[in-house]
Amino acid sequence: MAEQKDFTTSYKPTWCPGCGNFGIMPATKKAYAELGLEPHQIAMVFGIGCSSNGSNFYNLYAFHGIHGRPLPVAAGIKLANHELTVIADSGDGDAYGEGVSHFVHTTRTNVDITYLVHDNNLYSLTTGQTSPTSSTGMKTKSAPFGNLDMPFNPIAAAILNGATFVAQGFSSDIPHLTELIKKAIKHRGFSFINILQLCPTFNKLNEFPWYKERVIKLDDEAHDDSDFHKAISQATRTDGKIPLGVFYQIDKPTYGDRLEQLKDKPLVKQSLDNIDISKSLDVYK
Amino acid sequence: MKHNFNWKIGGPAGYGIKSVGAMFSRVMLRHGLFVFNYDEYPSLIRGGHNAFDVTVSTEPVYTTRRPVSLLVALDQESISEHQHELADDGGVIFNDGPVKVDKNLFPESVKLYPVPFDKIVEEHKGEKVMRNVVSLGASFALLGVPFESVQAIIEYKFKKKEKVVASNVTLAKAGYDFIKENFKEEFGYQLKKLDNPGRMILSGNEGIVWGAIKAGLKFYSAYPMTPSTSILHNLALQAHKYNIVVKHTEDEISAINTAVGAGYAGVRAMTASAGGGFALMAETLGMAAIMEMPLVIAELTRPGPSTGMPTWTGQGDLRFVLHASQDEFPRFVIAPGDVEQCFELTQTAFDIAEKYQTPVIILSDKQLAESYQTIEKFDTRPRKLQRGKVLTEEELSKIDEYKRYNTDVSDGVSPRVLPGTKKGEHLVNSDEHNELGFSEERSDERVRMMDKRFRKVATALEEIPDPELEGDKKADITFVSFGSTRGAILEAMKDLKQDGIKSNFLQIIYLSPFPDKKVGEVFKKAKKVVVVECNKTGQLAGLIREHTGQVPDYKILKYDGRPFFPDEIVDTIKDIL
Ligand SMILES: Cc1ncc(C[n+]2csc(CCOP(=O)(O)OP(=O)(O)O)c2C)c(N)n1
Repeated sequence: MAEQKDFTTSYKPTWCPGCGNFGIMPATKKAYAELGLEPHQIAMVFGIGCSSNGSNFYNLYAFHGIHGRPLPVAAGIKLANHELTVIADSGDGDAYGEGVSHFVHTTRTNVDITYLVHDNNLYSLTTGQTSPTSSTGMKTKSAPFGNLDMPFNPIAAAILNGATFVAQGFSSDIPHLTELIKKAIKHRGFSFINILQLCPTFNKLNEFPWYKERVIKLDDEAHDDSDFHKAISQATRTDGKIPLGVFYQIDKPTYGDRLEQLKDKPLVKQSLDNIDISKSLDVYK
Repeated sequence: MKHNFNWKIGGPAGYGIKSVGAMFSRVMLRHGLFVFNYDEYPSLIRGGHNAFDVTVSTEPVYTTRRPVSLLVALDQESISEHQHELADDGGVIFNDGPVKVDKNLFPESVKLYPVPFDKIVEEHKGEKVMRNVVSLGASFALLGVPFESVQAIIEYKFKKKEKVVASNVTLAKAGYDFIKENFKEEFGYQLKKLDNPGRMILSGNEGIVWGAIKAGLKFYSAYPMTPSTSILHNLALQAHKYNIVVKHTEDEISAINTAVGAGYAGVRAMTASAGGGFALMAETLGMAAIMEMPLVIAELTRPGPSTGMPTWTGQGDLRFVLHASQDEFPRFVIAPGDVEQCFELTQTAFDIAEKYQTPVIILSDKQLAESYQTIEKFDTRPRKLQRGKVLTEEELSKIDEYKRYNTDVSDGVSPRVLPGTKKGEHLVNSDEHNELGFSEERSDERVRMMDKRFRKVATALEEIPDPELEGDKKADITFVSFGSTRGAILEAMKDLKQDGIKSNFLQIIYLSPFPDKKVGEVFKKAKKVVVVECNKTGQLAGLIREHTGQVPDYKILKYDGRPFFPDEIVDTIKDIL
């Protein structure tokens, strides 16, 4: 049985001291270990950003792709070999900026993968510009006079577009996040966790005390996560509170469940010997 | 009496022009004749002018020939657009009434056949679109095709829908009889029936589709864009029968990334688009190269820049596919020139992609993608697939440390391990990396990894077949080209031969890595080299110069969105000789 440390490579993490990624990564590895997964059973697909540099620190089948595109890669892996546990991992710029089309459309497919988004409200690897989740008025290097845009609401967007598991975690609450990640991976279908993440180097607005004042647990509010409308209203709260926990989860056939082609065995295990096309060609005669 | 002829039908978009063209060709196929179809249509669903050419020959035919022997004009535009394409001894069947034909516009030798299509359709309570089968009947009456063949093709086309078959047969018969009753003189072009040993009519895209299926394609992701879309349609239809996942993704960026993911997981995966969609794929193309992923991409060119002319043809993307994405990396660019080559080379593309772990681009264009031609037969015998170096768990247990990007490989290819394999966990990385895959920016490591990747080029040059000269050994003219222009060149060579001009042809199939030695030799030995391509600046000629220092004696270029017609090449050759 693999332990948390078995998911760790020899590569030394390059994140800043106090970075929220130092909370998210152990929570993720712990979840893998506690679910009894072995490193070779997991394909984890990263985009580009500080968070995605984490690809170097995970011992498993890690795929460090390009900015904004981990979801389609992850979907391709899952559909080719559905025996793998497939995780996509992005920053908020990766997920909701460059790759937002994939975020919206992958939720609709309900492909059985888990999406972890490290949401530090900034583009950090590029040294701190406004991201889609930066709050209005937030001053950043690309908006020195304050962000003019409305922040994107990833939780509401995911629920509305058909994600079947939607949750929010916090990089400073590792035990809670670990449990969320375990639930997300166990869920059959597209599961998504927006993970609020501290960036002590560039984000001086959303620091730990700021979050401490605002976060609440959905579990403490007896939230019914099977209720679509309640989930939406939690995702669009106006009291300034930030809920953590599972907003919404339902059972629905996954993309793969609906593919006759995958009924027998994964595509990758299907034989390519003696594919006979000769009968099919009769229509051209 | 002539037995080779060119039939053309023109009419408004949405009037079944293409479907009647396909029926016409199939009847010819069944009579043992060779055809080449060419479909001209605007990027519209209704309105606008459509035309469909069928070139019919008693011997293999490689492209659309002109002049037109028999023109069917369902609308006035078919006269104004196509009258200049007509042979002096040709004929025009036109929709008598709505279409007005001025006899004086044609040489006296041209035969005019007014047929009241609208009236015939009305009399038999048919639908307007059925003017197309009336025209089929009328055409076949003139060309000496027995009516049973017309009936058979209608039954084949509408299968078991009895009522539809009956009304279409009635209308075709009405057209047939109208000609027989009103025009007794035999038309100068008559069908010559030959044996049909089971040939087929297919398009280049269908060649790609069946090549891919035969090669074991398991995953196809794409976004519609003419002229690549028929690959998506055809594969989607075969998805259940051949267990292929076919996914219409949200955009081309997703299409290529999904295909990379599937390829990484170990299945044969492909995507395709026209130049516009390929532009969106460019970043991922480089990703696949630096991560050393197998990937097959078909690029079906249409005229640009930008949206350009969506439903027309061109070869202006050669330089684009050769250079797309940042920096430098080995890539294969393979350009089939006919349907059989589409079928064969697509299979090869999958082998190469896995063997070399790098993107392979199949470069075709609208002319090849969507033109249907008679071909003898596909080789459907099982073929040994080359899946490249992939380590199993057992092999992994025998090595100390698995290095995904091991540089100690003379051919530049380090073995892959598929995700899911025990003891093979590793990182594949779009950052420059060391042998283990970890991000690495040291100068020596960078150079080592670049050089390793580029060793694939040297390996490939040893392995890929050289282009071969076809035609006369000693020739006055040596044609050099790539892709779909093959058809027009082969036809032009037939005509030149008849005029006593000897020619041969070098089709460059592998444009990257470029076979510089062989191409250089051919240039040196040739009397006169003529490069033929469908673009403005002579991209192939430029590429040849870059690789060999050689300059052709002449370039024949065309960039009006139309394919070359053989006479255009023949006329130019006669001028320059
Ligand atoms: C196509 C492309 N555009 C821009 C970049 C530059 N870039 C690298 S990371 C990044 C944003 C990172 O922000 P986020 O995804 O939130 O991740 P973080 O660094 O905050 O973890 C950008 C814009 C890139 N690598 N590729």
